[in-house]
Amino acid sequence: MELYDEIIRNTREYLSAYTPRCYPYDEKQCWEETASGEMVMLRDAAFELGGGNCESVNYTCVTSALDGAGKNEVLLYGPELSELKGDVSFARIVFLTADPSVWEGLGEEAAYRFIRDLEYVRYHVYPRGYMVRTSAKSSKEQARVSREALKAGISFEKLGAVYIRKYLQNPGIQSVQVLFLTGLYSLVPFQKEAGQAEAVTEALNHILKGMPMNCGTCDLKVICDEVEGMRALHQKKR
Amino acid sequence: MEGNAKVIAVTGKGGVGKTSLAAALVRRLTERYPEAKVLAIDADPAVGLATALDAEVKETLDDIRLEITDGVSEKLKETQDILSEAKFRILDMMDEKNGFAFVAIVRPESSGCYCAINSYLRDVISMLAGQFDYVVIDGEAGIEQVNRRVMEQVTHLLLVTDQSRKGMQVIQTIKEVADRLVMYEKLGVAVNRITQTVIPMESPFPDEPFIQIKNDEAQIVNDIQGKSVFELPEDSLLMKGADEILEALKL
Repeated sequence: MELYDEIIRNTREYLSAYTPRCYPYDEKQCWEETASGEMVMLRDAAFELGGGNCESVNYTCVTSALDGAGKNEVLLYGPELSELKGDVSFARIVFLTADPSVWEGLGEEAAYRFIRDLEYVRYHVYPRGYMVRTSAKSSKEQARVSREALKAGISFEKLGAVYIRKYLQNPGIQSVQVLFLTGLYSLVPFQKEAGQAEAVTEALNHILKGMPMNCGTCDLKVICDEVEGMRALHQKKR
Repeated sequence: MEGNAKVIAVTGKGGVGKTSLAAALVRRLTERYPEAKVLAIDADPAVGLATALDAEVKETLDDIRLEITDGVSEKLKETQDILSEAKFRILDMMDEKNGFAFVAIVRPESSGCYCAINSYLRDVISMLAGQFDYVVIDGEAGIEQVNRRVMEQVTHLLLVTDQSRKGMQVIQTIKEVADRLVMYEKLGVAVNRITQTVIPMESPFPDEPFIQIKNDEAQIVNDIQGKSVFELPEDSLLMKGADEILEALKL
């Protein structure tokens, strides 16, 4: 299914002007996690990613056939945590390569559940000294980084490894790319793609609810027209 | 409640100085344990704790409840998203200063509502509170909140009264309710604003700590001038009373 492929292509296009730092996945690099999250108070924080007046965005895309997929890696566009001096704009974007034998065979309901379960990984990652808060409503993700964690050597390489390890626990996932964007002047294009990713996923939900089956009256026709693979799922439903 | 947070609920009849005492406890905890994470929760609709601590009430939980309720019909369709959204917004409304964090619950069950959103918000507050070392809750007067199980997860219950018979009766009723509904480990009684010493006072619960705090003129002046508890003299009667409470409750 090519539901998110256009979003992945667009994201890469926006980032093509930058050269990222690339950290191949190494499970041994995973940063320590806490059992259920940790409060990092402002007085203990070095800075907040996406905090203050800085923008933030987060989205997840699943694919099975895109060029460049297949490697587990962290790509960092912008300064490392140790190089940051204050609050900056922040994005965490995830490209997941699903096993085609799993992904391509999914019906709409199963596809929706599969994608949502992967999106919800973000609620279950608790790096020590890294307090993440996420808004599904606004596609924002902010993270407060403690001075102590910074001193202990927290980095995007180690944080990304934690996320990759978590995603790979899903047997339907073959590989994971975690993109961190820090300090970019504008996140507007990425916010647009986040909105599109949410619309695609929600359209799947819409389908499984068996809502309007007449394209002429369906609010989500525009998504179906834009997103390859969505119409095929509709046809399956019928 | 997660973690090992010590949750101190301050409750009792209206007008006995609960809020000042709760604020004094917050100040003392931040001074005794400067590395600790201290959360002050204002659960009184009058939002007096904010003034006593000079904390800013950016938003109330009701604002967040309405916002999330709107979101539920749009983007927030699943429990995990709703819980996360609630956490996101509650952290937005949290004020931090003088070594403590402050959040104004005001009244979780707006208009007597026990709907799912309120339940989610309560869960998130409980989860967040569990990530602190000390949580001080300034409760609404009377037994209402104990009854509604807002304070179900306290570890230390501080019953505050004045010298009046009525005040004593209220704390006895609160204890009866708390014994049935609230899980607490330790209980203490503080008689506040003592003005006469002719009639000896007796604790209604002889086995529990019983702290007596004389009427504090410095606190009255502080209140009149709209100053926070952090501006009270170190040796004021209220601050000494807070010390005695912390000692008695082994905090």
